[in-house]
Amino acid sequence: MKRASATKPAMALPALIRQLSEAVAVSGDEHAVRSLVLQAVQDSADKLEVDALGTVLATRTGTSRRRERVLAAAHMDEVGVMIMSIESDGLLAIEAVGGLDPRVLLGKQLWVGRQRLPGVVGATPVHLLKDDEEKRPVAFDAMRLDIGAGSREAAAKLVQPGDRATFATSFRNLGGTLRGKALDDRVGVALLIELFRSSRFEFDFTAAFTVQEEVGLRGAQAAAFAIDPVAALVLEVTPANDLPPQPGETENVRYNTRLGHGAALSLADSSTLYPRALVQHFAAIAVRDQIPFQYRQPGGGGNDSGGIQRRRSGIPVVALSVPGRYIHSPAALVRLSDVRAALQLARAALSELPRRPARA
Amino acid sequence: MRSLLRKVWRPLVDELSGDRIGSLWGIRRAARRPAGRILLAAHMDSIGMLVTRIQDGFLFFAEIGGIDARVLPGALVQVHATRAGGSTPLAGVITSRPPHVQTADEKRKVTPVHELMVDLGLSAAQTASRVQIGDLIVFAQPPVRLGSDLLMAPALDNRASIAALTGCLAQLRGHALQWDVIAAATVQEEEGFAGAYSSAFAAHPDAAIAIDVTFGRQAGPPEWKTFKLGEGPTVSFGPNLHPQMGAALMEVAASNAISCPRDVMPLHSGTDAYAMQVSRAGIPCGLVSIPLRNMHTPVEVVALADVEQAAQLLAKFVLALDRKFRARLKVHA
Amino acid sequence: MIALINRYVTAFGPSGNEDAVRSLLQADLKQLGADTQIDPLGNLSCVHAPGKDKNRTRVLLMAHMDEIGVMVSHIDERGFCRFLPLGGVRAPWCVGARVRFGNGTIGTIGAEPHEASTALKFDDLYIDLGADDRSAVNVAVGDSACFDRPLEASGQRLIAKSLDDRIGCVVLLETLRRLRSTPHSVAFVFSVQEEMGLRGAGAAAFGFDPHFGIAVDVTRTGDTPKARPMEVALGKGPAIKLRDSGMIADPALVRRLRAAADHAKVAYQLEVLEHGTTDARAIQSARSGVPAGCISIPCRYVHTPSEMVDMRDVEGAIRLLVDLLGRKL
Repeated sequence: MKRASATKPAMALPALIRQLSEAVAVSGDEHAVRSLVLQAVQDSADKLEVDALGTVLATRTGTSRRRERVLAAAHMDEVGVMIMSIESDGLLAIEAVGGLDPRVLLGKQLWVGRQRLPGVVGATPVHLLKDDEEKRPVAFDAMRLDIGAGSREAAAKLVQPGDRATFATSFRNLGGTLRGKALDDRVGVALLIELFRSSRFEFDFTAAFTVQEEVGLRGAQAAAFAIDPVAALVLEVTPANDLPPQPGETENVRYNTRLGHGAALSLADSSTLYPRALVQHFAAIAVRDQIPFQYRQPGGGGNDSGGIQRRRSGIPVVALSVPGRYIHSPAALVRLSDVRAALQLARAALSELPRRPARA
Repeated sequence: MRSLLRKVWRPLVDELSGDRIGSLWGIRRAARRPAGRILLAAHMDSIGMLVTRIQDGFLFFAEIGGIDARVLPGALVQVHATRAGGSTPLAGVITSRPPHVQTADEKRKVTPVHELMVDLGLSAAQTASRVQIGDLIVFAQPPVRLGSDLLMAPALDNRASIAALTGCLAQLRGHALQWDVIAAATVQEEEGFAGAYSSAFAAHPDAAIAIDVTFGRQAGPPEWKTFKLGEGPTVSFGPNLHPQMGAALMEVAASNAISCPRDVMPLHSGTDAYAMQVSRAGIPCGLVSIPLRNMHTPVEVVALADVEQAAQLLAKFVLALDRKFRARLKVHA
Repeated sequence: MIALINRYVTAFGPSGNEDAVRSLLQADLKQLGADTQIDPLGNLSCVHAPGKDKNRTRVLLMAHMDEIGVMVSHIDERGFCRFLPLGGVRAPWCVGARVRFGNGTIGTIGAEPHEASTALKFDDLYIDLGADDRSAVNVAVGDSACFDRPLEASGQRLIAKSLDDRIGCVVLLETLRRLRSTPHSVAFVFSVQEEMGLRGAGAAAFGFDPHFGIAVDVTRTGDTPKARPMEVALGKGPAIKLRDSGMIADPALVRRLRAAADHAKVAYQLEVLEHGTTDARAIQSARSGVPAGCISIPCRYVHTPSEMVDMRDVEGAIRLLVDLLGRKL
C-alpha cells in the first residue's frame, strides 16, 4: 500500500506520543490506537494487514535478496477496567483488565467507553469508615464507577457491560519529562512508528503493533508464529523505581531502571532469559555510537518477548525499553531523552544486525 | 480563594470585612434599626497537603485536614511553589509502585502518607530551587460534569456551600432586609473550626446558619447514613442545633416548594455550627447541608440542583426574618 | 561411567548459559560419529537414523542441559551481590551455599538476620565474593552462577550438584553409544532452560515434529525420614512416569516402556509425582500433540547442591531405552 508520492511531514515525537497516550485502548478493544497506527504507517508499508486478533502487521521489504525476516513489536493495549454490570442505582461494578493495583484506582476520574464519558471511582468518606478500614485497601468488587446516572435505565442508555474504562489523564510535556497515562506502551508504539517510517533494512522488516500484551502476551504469540522471523525486537516501557531509599535502607537496590540514564536493555525478566550475543550486540553499538543506555535489573515483570521466544522452533529476541515511573497508574513519567536514545539505538543496532543473531 | 470571593461578593454586599484570622465577611445591612443579626457561615478551606521535606527532587508531605490516604497513590496534584518568589503552580504526581515490583505483603497495605512522595518530573536541582518546605499541594483534578445534573471536582467540600452562599447573596440583591446579614467565608474548619469561633465571636449574631456538605448516597456506606443527590439540601436536627432554627427552615422550604430531607445528628454536627453554638453566651444555630459523594477525595460529586436549592432556601429564610423571630428563638421545644 | 558423569555434573550451566555443557556434548557426540545441530534457542540435537528408510517413525529423546542457579541483580557499594533465583531454588536452602560464576569466581551466600529461617526470602539473601567494595567485584549485574560442590561416590550412590539433569544427558549419551540398530529415526535432544519453565523443549519438539517423545529427567523419592508418601525409592530401578503435575503419560507408550523393561530384564518402578513436571509436558503439546512419556532417575534432595542417585537405576534406564529403540514402537 505504499504510495509513490512523498509522505506528509511526520508529527514530532512528543506530539505523536500525546495522541497515542490520550487514546483509550484497554486490552481487547484496541480500536482507537489501531486507527492511529494504520494512519501513521500506511504510506510507508509495502504490506499491511490486521490479523485475527487485531494486531497490525506492517512490512517493509528488505534491500537484500536473502528474504530474511526480522520482527519488532510494541503493544497497543493498556491496563484498565471493564464494566461488569449496571446496578439498580446506576452505579457500575468493575473488574481489572491486566495488572492494575486497586489502590491506584480509588478516588480517580476515568474515561468510560469509546465515547470517553467521564466517570469516577468513589471512596467511602473517611468519617464513615470503621476501625482499621482506613488502613486496608479497597478491593475491586467493593468499588463502583459513577457516571452520574441516577438509575439503571439512565446508565444503560450510556454504557453496557463489557465497555472498558481507563484513567482520564491528559498528556503533558513538563520540559522534557513526558507525563501521561498508558505510556506503557504508547511510547513503544510511537518509537515503532518512527522506526518503521524512517528505516529500510537489508532484511524484510515487520512492525507488529500487538494487542492484549497486558492480559497474557496474546497478540505477540500469534504474530511471531505468522512472521517466523530470525530475530525479534520488543520496544517497551519498563518500570523505573528509582525513588529515594526506604527508611532503614542506605541504598535503593530494587530500582530496576533509572530515568534519564538512557535506553534500557533487558538481561532477564520473569518470562525470558535474553540471548547474550544479541544483547551484547546492542550494547556494543550503544557504546560505539555514544548512545546513553543502561541494563534493566534482572527479575520481575514480563513483556511480549515471552510470547515470541518460544514460538515455532524458537526466536532470539531482545527487549529495548524506555524507563517509566508509575506505569500502570494514572500518570507515568518518562524522559524524552531516553525515548530518543531508544529510537537511535534501535535503528543503529538493527541496521547492523549480525547474520546469525542467536548463536552465542 | 479569598481574593476571588472578594471580587464576586463586592457587587452583592454593602461592605466587605472579616475576622482577625482571615475569614471573609460580606455584610448586608437591614433597612431599619434596631435589627437582628444573622450569620451565615460556610468554610472556604478544604483539605490539602503541604511539603514537609525535599529529598533528591522528591517532595514528602503531610496532610491538612482528614485526607484519605487510600486515594493518594497515582493522584495528580499541583504544588504551589514559592521558593523563587510569588507562587508558581507545578504539576506533580503522587508516587505509586507498579504491581510487578511489589511483594505480596506490600500489596495488602495502604501506603501511609509519610511514605508517599510527590514527583514533579524535574531534576533534584530544579526542584530545590523552586519548592520549599510548607508549600501547599492540592489535587489537580479538573471539574467535570457527570451525566446531566452532577458536578465532580475536588474541594466541593466546601466550595459547593460557598457557591450556595454566594447564590443566596445574589438572590437578596435589591431586596430590603429586616435583619443584618453577615455572610462569612470562614477559615480552618477542617482543622478545628477556628474561623467559625472567631467570626461568631466578632459578629455576635442573634442566630447563625452553617452551610456545609453531608454524605451523599454512594456505594460503600450504609444507605441510612446518606442522602440521595438531587433531592435537595438537608436541614439538620439534634443537640448541636436549635430546634426552632430547624423548624423555621423546614417551613420556608415547604412554602417555597424546596425539597429538604431531615438529617438527624445525635452528637455534634462536625461543622462550623459546633463552634458557633457555644460562642460568647451561646447562639441558636441551624445547619443546611449539600449531599456530596466521595467526601475528602479529589472526586467529590454534588448535584447542581441541590446547590441552587440551598441558595434559594437561605435567601428565602433571610427574607422571612422579622422582629418576631427573636422571640421565637427563646422557645426550645 | 563415573568419570563421564563427573565431567558433566561439574560443568557450568545455569539456565540461559548452557554453552559449556553444550560444548562437552558436541565433543562427545562427535566422537560417536554423530552430526549435531543447534536451533535458534540453543537446543542441541543429533539425529540417529542408520540406513536408508525414509519413512521411519520419529522418536524424540530429551534431557535438559541447564541446572538451577542464581543471577546477580544488583551489586551494592560494599560489594555484596543481590540475586534472583534461576529455576526452583529455595531461599532457606541457600544459606551457606557456595556458588560459582562462569569466569570461575566463587562466592558464598549469606543472609540478613531473620527470626524465622524458614520464612527467608531472596530479598534477605546476598552473595559475598569476599571483595572489599564494588570496584573489586569481577562479576556484573546479569551474570549467572551455579551451585558448587564436587561429586562424591558412596557405594552405588552418587552425590553431586546438577544430577538434575546432567544424569539424563549422560543416559542419552550412553544410550546412543550402545545403540546398535534401530528402525526409527531417533533425535537425541539436549534442551535449554527447562528449569525456567520448559522453555527450550517446545521449540525443539516443534522443529523435529516427532511421533513419540520421551524425556529423561530425575524425580524425587519417598524413602527418606517423614518424606511425603511416594512409591519411588533409590536403587529399585528407573521409574516409568505415569503422571506428574503437568501431564499424563501416553498409556500406550507407558505399556511399551514396561514391555521393554521386562524384555531387557530391568527392574523398574512406576511413578506418580504430585508436584513438578518435565520437558515431556512441552513435548506433548507441540504442534498437533505428541504421545509423550518420561523415564525418571530416582533422586533424593532434588534442587539442592547435594543430589543423590543410585547407579543401578541409571544403568537400568540406559538398558531400557536401548531395548525400546531396538524394536518397532
